[in-house]
Amino acid sequence: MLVLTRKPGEKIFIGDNVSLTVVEVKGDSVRIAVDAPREVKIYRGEIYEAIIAENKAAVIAGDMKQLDGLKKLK
Amino acid sequence: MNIKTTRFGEIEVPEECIILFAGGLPGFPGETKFALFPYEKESPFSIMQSVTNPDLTFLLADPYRFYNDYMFELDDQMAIDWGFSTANPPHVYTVATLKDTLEQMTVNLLAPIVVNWVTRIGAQLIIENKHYSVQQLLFPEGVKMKPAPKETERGG
Repeated sequence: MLVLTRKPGEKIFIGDNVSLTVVEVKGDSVRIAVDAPREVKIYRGEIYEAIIAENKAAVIAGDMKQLDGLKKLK
Repeated sequence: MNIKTTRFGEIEVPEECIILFAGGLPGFPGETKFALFPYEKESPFSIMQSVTNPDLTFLLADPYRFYNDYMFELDDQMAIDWGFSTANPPHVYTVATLKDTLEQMTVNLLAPIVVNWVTRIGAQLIIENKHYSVQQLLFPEGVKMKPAPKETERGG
């Protein structure tokens, strides 16, 4: 993992098309501007991690009998 | 095509049921092909089975059958890129998570699965809405369907 120190107004380029700019540092918060092509998806880390965790939890384990109670629902 | 599955044994599914997820799913980046078919006839639930991984099976729920006012914004450019129109609207599913009992089952309202059934491509979107949860109870009032809303109350 690469760890860099940047000051407000300074940038980091990731590859050729993505750049991060440190906009402001205030107390324990850092505001970051992300410039990336539209097809590059950008998510807050905790949201993306929660979706990954929920997808993994959603994989059906055990047999399908546990769903039998859903059969009557139309 | 024939698919080997852990939950159903070997099953035969028509090509029309195979959906391509070019980017995989969050947590499963290499899983790009799934068979998507109803759990039972007219059921609000569907099964999404990986074509390549017999163990990877999801239960999906039609969110609009449970949450009449569920909504999220589809990026305009995505709608164009995907060829959605009033004649070919996006189909939306939510991923269900089984718990010890059906009453405790939840759905992930923050990461709906959107499918274009004409081109048979799909993606799991991540939306931001503080009113929705990744673990929304599906049956807060017991395992049953709410009465369907009157036609006049139904949203567009």
